[in-house]
This record gives sequence, structure tokens and C-alpha cells, in this order.
Amino acid sequence: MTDLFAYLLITVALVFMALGVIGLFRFKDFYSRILISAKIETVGFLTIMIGFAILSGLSYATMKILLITLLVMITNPLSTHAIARSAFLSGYTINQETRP
Amino acid sequence: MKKMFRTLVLVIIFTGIWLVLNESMSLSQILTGLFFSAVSLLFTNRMLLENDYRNTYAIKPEVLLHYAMYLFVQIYRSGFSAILKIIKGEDTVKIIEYETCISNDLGICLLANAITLTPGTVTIGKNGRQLQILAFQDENTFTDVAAGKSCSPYEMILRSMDS
Repeated sequence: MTDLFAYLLITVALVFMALGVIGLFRFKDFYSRILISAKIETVGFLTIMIGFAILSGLSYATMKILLITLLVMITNPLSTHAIARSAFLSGYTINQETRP
Repeated sequence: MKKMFRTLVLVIIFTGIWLVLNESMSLSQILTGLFFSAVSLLFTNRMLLENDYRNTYAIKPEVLLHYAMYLFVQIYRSGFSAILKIIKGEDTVKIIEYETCISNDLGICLLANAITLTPGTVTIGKNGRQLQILAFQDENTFTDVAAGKSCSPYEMILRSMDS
């Protein structure tokens, strides 16, 4: 039953990631794409890691998974922030790509 | 005494991480963990930080837990609303100029971190208490400076760090 729940979570995470990838192709603007890519990184990653932790049971592997999740949750926003900020500072405007 | 207690808590946390990474609870590992935790704290204090480690990262555990739980719920709520945006193809974005109610620097960084972790909002700039937030057009958690001042729920939690 626990394994089934873990597999369900992993499937949900993959759906989240797939939808994020669809969003990346569907949206044309750089800024909207970066907002969607942040979704894949957070919701998808968090759900898949919870799924893996449940699947591993109570072990050192689970604690390592949780530790990795914590570290990624702290450092992940930095990369998104750095990319978005560099675009903003270099004068990239909203809807620049879609403008005629 | 309080300073000693805070250092001890940090050393215990770091030793815990050391034991998890080494997958062992033996006495030798515990002693090695304690040693490296104390040394890394000492080096961080002396070489990497301008202020004391304990003061720079002073946050109440209950505030951190409340913040983490609220953030967890928000990540999923925003995640689901982002799915609707992908399906509908709503890709209009805006940049909000936001002035935070928090005065603590660590609190502002945690707020900026939470904003970027929540799908649909990314912090693109920080100047003192002023934050620039990239968000979808219908985002209304953070009100623009021009639209009047109101504290977001994140800030209400993090403000308790100041007291």
C-alpha cells in the first residue's frame, strides 16, 4: 500500500514535469517561461523526492534523500533568480520575443 | 551560557548530517562528526562571516517550521494554478515593486527565497527592503508599492523573527 502511494506520487511528479515542459514550448516569452520552469523545479522535484523517500522506507537512504531535498530547496531559487535577474539587468523587456 | 547552548545545538545538527552522509552511528563517526562540526563552525565564524554565525542565522525553530509548512502548502497551491495557466495559455507577466514589512536581513532573504520557490513568482531584485517580483498578471499576494501597503502572509510569519 505504501509502495503504491509512493508510485502514485512519482507519477504525479512526472505529470507536473511533463506539463511544465509543455508550458515551456507553449509560452513564447522568456519571463513567462522562467516562471513555468521554476514550477518544474519545485513542485515536480519536491513530489518525486517525497515519493522516493516513501519508497525507501526508514533508512539512511531516506535521510539522504530528505537532506538533498532540503539543500536543493535552499539553492534552487538562486539559479532561477540569477537567470531572471541577468535578463532583467541586461534590458530584456517583457514580451520582447512576441512583439512584432 | 546562551551562546554556548546555541553553538552546541548547531554542532549537534551538523553532526547529525555527518552521520547521515556516512551511514553509520558508531562512536568513532560521532566523535569525528563532532570534531568536524566544531572546526567548520569555527572556520565559518572566523573567515567567512563578518558577524557571528549565531547572530547572522538566528531564527526561532518554531518560526522556521511554520514558514516551511506554509511554504509547502503554497508551493502546491501555486503549482496547481500554474497548470491551469499552461492549459489556458495565459502567459502575461508583470513586474511588481514591493516593499517588505520585514526589517531583518535574514528574514528578507527567506522571503525572497519563498517567492522564487512558489511557482508563478520569481524575485529578480533586492535593494534593502525593496523587492522586484516577476509574477503572472493575476498574482495578488504581493501588492505593488503604488497600490498601497499590505503585508503578505509570508511576512506575517517571518516578522515574528524580529521579536
